[in-house]
Amino acid sequence: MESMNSKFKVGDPVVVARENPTGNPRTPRYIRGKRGVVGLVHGVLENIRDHRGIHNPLYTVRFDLSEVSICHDQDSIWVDVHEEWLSAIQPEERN
Amino acid sequence: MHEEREWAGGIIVAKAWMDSEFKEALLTTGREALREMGVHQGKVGKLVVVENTDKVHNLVVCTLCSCYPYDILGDTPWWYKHESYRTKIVQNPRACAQEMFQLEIPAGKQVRVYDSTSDVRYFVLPQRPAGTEGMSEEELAKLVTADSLIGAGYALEPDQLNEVERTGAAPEMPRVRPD
Repeated sequence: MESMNSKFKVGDPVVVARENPTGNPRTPRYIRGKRGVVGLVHGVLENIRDHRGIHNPLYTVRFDLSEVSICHDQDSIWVDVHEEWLSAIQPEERN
Repeated sequence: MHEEREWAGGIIVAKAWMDSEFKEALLTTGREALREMGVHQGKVGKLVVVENTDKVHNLVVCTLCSCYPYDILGDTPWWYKHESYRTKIVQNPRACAQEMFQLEIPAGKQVRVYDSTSDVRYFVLPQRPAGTEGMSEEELAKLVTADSLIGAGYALEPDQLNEVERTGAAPEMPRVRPD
């Protein structure tokens, strides 16, 4: 990997990959291909209990509930996602 | 005989209610604040504590399996591992909380569901109930339930605690319907 520094910061709009980009497979299906905003930046975490190696930086990404389910209210789902699953996107334009 | 240790959940929350400096440290540094407090803990992931307020109600789930900070809070509640909870709470959190826990989250409160995927373990800092002014930290700790640390309930009010102590146990709620 290029570096151990986190590529995204809090507030960055991101989209989750649809397919597993050969990284940590632990990304729930319901957020794949979905748009969210970085809510927490954790950096590289050691998790020897559950992983064989060291993974890329971890983020907690906030998704509007309406992005991941049929509900339309102000609620949100915050999911832990590793960096290789995320790509930067332009902030959504709202009318 | 295993070592008897007071359940850490109640002690941590009561301290956070009483001591705003500790609360701030708990919310920003997680395990470090617990270490300074002397709470027994293992190394089960990074700890993030999220605070329930008048505006935000947090809930925790692990939709993939059952990630939970058990090294701090002990046994994982059985319903937390149940597929029904793990599926419904991210699809329709309000309806799920209502159906499983009889928890009506006011419309004016925003709901945030934290879905853990092992590296980070979450628990909720519940709101301090009304009518608890003047209670000691020790008394406050008794108001804290395991459910309230997941956001599946509120901390008990003093008369609810009296009822629990009088009857010997909290009433069992339906939680998860077999379907």
